[in-house]
Amino acid sequence: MAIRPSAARTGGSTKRARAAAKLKQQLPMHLMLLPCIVLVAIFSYYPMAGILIAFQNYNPTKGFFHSKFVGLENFDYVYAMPETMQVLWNTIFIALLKIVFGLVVPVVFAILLDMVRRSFVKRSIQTLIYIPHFLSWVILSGILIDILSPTDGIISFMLKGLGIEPVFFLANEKLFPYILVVTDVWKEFGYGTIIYLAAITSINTILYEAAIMDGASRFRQVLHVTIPGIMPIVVLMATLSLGNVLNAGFEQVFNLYSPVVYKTGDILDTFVYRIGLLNSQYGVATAVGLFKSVVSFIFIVTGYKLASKFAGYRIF
Amino acid sequence: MHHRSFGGKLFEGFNYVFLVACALLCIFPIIHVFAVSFSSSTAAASGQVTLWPVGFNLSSYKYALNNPQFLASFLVTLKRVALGVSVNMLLTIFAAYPLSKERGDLFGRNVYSWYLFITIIFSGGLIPWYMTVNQLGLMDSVWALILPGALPVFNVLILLNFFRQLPKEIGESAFIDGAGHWSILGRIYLPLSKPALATLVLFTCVGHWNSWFDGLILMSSPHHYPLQSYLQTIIVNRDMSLFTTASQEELKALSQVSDRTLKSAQIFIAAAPILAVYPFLQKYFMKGIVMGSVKG
Amino acid sequence: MEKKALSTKASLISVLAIAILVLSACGDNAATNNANDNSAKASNTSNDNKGEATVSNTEDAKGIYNPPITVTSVMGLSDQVQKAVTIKPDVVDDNIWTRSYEKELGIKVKYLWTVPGVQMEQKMNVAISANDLPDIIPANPRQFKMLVDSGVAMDLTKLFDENASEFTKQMMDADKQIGIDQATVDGKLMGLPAVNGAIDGASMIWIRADWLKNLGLEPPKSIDDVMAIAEAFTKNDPDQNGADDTYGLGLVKDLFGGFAGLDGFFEGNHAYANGWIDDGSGNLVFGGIQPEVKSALAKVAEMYKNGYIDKEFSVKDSAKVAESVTAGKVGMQFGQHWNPFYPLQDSKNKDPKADWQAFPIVSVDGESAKPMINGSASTFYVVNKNMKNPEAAIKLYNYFYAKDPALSPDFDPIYHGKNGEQETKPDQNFSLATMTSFYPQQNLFIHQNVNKYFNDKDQSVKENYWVKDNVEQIEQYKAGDNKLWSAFAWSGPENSAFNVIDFYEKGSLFLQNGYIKADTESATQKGATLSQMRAETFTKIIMGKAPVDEFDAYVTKWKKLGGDDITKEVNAAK
Repeated sequence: MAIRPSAARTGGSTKRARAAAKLKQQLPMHLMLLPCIVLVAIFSYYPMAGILIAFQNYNPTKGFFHSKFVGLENFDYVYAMPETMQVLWNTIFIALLKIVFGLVVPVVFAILLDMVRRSFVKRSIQTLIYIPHFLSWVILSGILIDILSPTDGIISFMLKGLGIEPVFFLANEKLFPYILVVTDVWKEFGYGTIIYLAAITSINTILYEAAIMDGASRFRQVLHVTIPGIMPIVVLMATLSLGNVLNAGFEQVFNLYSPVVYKTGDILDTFVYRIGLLNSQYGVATAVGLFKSVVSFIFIVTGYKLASKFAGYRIF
Repeated sequence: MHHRSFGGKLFEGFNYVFLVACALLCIFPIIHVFAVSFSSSTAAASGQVTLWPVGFNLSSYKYALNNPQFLASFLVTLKRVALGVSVNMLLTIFAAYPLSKERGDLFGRNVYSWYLFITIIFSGGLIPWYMTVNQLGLMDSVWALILPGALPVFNVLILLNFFRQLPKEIGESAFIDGAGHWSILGRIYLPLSKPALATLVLFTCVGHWNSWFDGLILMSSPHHYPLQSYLQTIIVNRDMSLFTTASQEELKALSQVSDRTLKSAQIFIAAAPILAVYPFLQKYFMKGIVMGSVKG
Repeated sequence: MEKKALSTKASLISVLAIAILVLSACGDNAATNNANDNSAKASNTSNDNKGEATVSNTEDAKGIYNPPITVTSVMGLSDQVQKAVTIKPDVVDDNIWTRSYEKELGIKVKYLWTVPGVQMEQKMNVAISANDLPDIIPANPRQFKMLVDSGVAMDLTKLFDENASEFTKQMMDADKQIGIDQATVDGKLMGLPAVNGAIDGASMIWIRADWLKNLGLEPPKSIDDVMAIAEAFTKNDPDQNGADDTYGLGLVKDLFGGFAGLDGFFEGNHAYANGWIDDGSGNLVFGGIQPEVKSALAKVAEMYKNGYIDKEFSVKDSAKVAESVTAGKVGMQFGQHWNPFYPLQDSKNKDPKADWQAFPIVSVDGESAKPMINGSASTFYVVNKNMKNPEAAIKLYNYFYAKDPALSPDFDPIYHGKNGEQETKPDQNFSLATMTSFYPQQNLFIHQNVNKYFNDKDQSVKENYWVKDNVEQIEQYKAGDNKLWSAFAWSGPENSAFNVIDFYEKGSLFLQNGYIKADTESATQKGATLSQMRAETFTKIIMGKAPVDEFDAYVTKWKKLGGDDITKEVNAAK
């Protein structure tokens, strides 16, 4: 951008001209964003009017602008149900474990996998581990019930081999949440590994070469090059996954739980599903949804602030 | 790198064993589904099949591949994936590029960011979503499956973080050379982000391939269902309380559809293409040297 | 909108139509109030209607609309229809029913959407909540209540009275008005019941008679016999394969239901876990909290402890139990009439020796065991109060009764679809009708006539289409076609499902559930909590994870957490 002599004389108009030029230069970027903004406005913001249902005794024929407002009654209703607190606790417990292991396992796995030199082995393993992601819980639950069966499941068979009394895993109150966590991590870790592997491969190889020159061992390379290299994406994923603090996995729980493990296995979503199933109370379901959103929002924003304050990471 | 210690080799050995064991653990269910799909239906119905077909036969594949509904749904899915992934990727790139700039370089950057970010967390829910699609006259059209999720904000965040990792100097120097934002994005950013783009293409592919609920709710007839919506209708367990009042003919039909082998064959066929796409995209993940070549 | 109402008024001719007009004008006003919420599609269709309705609202001498009117509906596709669609893709919009509706009634039916039957509930829930509804709305009981509560449903009391055919009314009488009663809210008929017959819901015991024979046992006469058979089936190697791989009683994790549930076992103990019974003073009490339930639970817990029930039943849904049955691990289960079709036919396919037979439920004492029956309809056709010609809905309802039941004077089997012709004539099938509602004793009627044919050698019964069809299938089974065993076990002359129902009917053993209407207000609010509590308590008691006395605490909690309110409301509403 050449500075024109005429503009140099009058300071005010220069500023304006510079701002205009800057804006003009930025224009393509605003144009890029335009279709995104419009689509999000139509398909995300416009339907958000539906959040009103949370405060209403929703009547479909009246719609959400004319249904009766009931204030916080829907929230009170859920709060007053005797099982709410237990369910909330179960949800958080299961969800937190899933968040932690759902993050650590793929990262560790990606690092280990990256160490494999034979590209064929590396690729094959990578392909195989992401397969479970493609099977729905309806199908997997049937298989898991067989595998975990105390009488003729493979796990019990192995336990017997080791001289341990087989356990009825899916009917065991204490073990059930952990079964959920393990099976969920098992289903999803291969899929999560992909993103970290992509991050690792995009680390500048010069950094590794430099580390090797310094005589760093494999372990030290991981510690000083790989981990710092993928840290931004790990922080990003960790922060975003905080939004799942109330998502304990409806489909999974729904297909694996039973009344004997309600005490530790019943989660917010299955609970609301049962309320909804009995009578389609949309006000209540929306209220719970809103509650989940607000809590997720608080967690994500807090995570975001912490990450930027203490580690200097910016999520967006 | 040529010289490895004994400890290193030992570790490597363990690492191989561990990773292979994990991989085997992961393919168990799909092998089971595969084995059931090739078994005789009575063997499958009595739960005899584990990892090897019992009473090997191909009839369920023949049936599935001759089922017009299955094929029609397959085509809908292909169309959806092709259109959906294109739209998703285009918009993801268009959103990620400007947002990867610093505040001073993009007027209103933070407003844009929050505007998009909020939509990850808050949504109006099922009913308003349905009403919106209905009001726009998109019902029963493939666009109903594409436009509502046209901008995957989560992916935007991943991509903008990748963009931000790129050395700033290249963009700046190109800018001084007179290149506009469009050409910087197209000629410099995108080629450098192949691993990230390949990952996101895979994610959006899988997302479109696997989603079933929207198809079920937004399509007006089963002909227009994508494959997974159709599969859902055959996989889901039937509500047996309805059988009490079913007529004899309906019950008779029931005794013919309880076929697990057929279900498994269709599940397997439905999973196969996406599994086949993966190794193809995988080669981009493996190209770790991409970044290194920039400076060289 | 008001204009349309006026122009409709102008076209009014017959006196009869006045009532209809008033109703539809009301509908229009209501529609104006929420014009904002009306979807593009919904308003399109109502415009279609109006366009035609404005030209002429009249019917000609034979009651045929001229020009034809368009009525909108939606359809959950049965398995048969889904199959038909694969043969003839437009079969839903062009079939023997749609063609006849148009020709003989002047009614064009347009389906706004269709969905496979298994997903019908979900799709309909969304459509109701978004108020995107057709003229004729097939609804399950819950949806029926929502449609009534939200004011969508039209009061059909008078319309039905005036337009229902003689034969339709006869059918309602044959149903003892149970379906009509279920569809009546506050004295007003708010929907047309899809009648199926309540007696078909009665419990029975299915036992492998080949196992009984192997062990030299007799069919059960009492609950004690049932438990003894369960023991023998578990311990005495009933399949004589030398392995301890069988157990006595199949049970699903839900505990109750039409296959491998406990309903029949409880009823044998005079316990009605899901029903409302007379306490002797004319008041209804909830069966699920009576002391008989406790003693029944104690017996089930004993069977579980002794291994007569699958140790893992608490995670096995019906598909999993069906697997065990087919694999030949289970020899007895409480179920319903449809079990031969699924999953017992699978068992028979696997092992042709598997001789499943149905027996009436048995009692714990001298008093006879009574199976409880519920309502006769599980689907209700709600007429949208915005519908222009609501009497057309009743005509469609009449039309099905005219053509489908083999008892009807206008019966024609091509409407029903002939057995074996589904492939060549996919557009001839009863489930393609916009509204279906059956002769409530159809199944029992079939069995009784099949009996006459086989036992009394009465050839004349074969004049009835249904009877002929069943007789032929049974004969083919007897001639060696194992795949048709289900027909034999369903309507056949000995130890079939309907043999048992016939036995109940002749002995007047059915016990009508005291309350069969939609859930009351408190049941809607508290139902989820209460049913969860029950599932938890009962399962734990059976598995020995809680003492049987836990039941008493459950009863106290049940009352406190809303049960008492529900009881009050049920008694007020009965």
